[in-house]
Amino acid sequence: MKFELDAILVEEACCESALARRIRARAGATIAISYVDDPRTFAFADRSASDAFGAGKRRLIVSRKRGGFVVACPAASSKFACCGYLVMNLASNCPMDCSYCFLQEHLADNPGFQVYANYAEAFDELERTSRAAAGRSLRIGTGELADSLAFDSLTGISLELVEFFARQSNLVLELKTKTDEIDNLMRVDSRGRTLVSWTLSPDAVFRASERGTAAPANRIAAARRVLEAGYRVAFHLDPIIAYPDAPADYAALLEALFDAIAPEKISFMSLGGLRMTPALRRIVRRRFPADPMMVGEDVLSPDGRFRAFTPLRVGLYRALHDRIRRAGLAAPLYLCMEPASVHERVFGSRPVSPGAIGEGLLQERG
Amino acid sequence: MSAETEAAIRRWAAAKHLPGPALARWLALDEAARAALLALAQELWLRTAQLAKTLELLDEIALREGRNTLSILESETIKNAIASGGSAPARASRMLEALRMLRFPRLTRLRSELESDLRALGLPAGLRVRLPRELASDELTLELRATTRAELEAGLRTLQRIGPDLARIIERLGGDDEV
Repeated sequence: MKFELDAILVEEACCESALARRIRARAGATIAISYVDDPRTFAFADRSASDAFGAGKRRLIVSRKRGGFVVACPAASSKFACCGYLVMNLASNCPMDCSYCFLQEHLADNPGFQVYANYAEAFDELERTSRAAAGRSLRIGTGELADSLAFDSLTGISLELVEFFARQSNLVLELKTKTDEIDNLMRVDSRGRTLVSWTLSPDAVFRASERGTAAPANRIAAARRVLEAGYRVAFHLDPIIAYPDAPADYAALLEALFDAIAPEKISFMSLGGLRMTPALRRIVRRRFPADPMMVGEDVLSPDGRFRAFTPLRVGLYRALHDRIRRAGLAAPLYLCMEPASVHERVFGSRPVSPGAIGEGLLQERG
Repeated sequence: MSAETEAAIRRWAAAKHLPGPALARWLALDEAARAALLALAQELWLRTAQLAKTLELLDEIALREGRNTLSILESETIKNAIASGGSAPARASRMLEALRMLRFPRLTRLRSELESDLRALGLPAGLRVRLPRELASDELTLELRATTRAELEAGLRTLQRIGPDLARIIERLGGDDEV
């Protein structure tokens, strides 16, 4: 476990679950474990704390999820060219603390770090989803409301996930992470049905804005190891931050990536510029007032989010696209949360439909 | 000295109903910077919103450039704006514009170039071309006003003539140049 917890709360109804037992065994004696009837109120923000969101991250809550596990990606919108991603929420919040993280707004009232003991019920949902999507391939990720692997040494959930997806014919699991926590992955055979994706940033962004994450070089090294172990790998340059040295720093990052991993071994890449709603921007300024990456030349875009002004942002996308293609990446490359006009400016064509992008991402490569 | 400055700042803030967070930001500056800002507020008759915006921009420029606030207030760009003549409110507006230039240097430079390109087109009165606000999108807005057939035809001929120049501008809005 590479992160700090102040307390662990376990819902009494889940205290004998496999997950609770594993967490008890691995958490260590220094962290107090309490048992509560209904833990949901403990996930609420503690308004008396100077940093309620940060405090929530250090309060691990093992509970039963009341709703469904699999949903469409919350970032999907008719305004954007989307990738048809499905999200499986096995946890909520993340032990790392990136300045730009949208969870600061999304989970502002409910920041407790929740892990769901009944996660195996998600497998039934997935089987139903798989049957309903007969003939189509689906990409399902666990890295939307939490990092997929940040807490895996504590929960061990990845072992069961990878084994479940290894048995599926039309489902691919995407584990999205900024860590190098891959020990569990090395113990199971994914049979090519699990794709591990890393969000990568230049060192300058990592040092300024990505607290608790693995250094970019370590993420790339971890990607190389899982690739050698039979996993598919993908990379997200997201958020791309348009600070003055960004063109050179992102070029160096890509060079380091392609030096370690041959482009033809990469399943896909995505690009996405830093975007913040006005509310998120206020939270970020309050929580990270000294982060220079958060005071870029951002303006309010037509979609109501602050982004780097368009010529700057699109120019950077185009430079990165050109560099990635020149390196030899033939796999799909897509933009996250950008309108079709930006897609056309970067790639020279309008995006295909969301489903088609998703299908393209799942083709076997390398 | 410090207590006097702080008292004067609090009086100014009370008189202008400056919100608490802005006052706290002001008082968090070092002694020389907070005094310099007070002098500026008094000299330029800054309004409440202008003072709050000034504080926000100063904070952000200091963070972006790793500079202290006093050095920003004493920079040539700001001093020239303050010394540029005219009424106090006019100089206040120019001072804020100068701060925005420092805060958004690449945006300011590109917008200025594009505006210059548009002026060079010598558009007739019935034809307007507008850049997107703060270059927040890649959309160019064209407006043709005509009340007679002749005006309409003249406007359309002008549009045809300037088409390649507008295409160049719209390419620049789409990230065609290194910014």
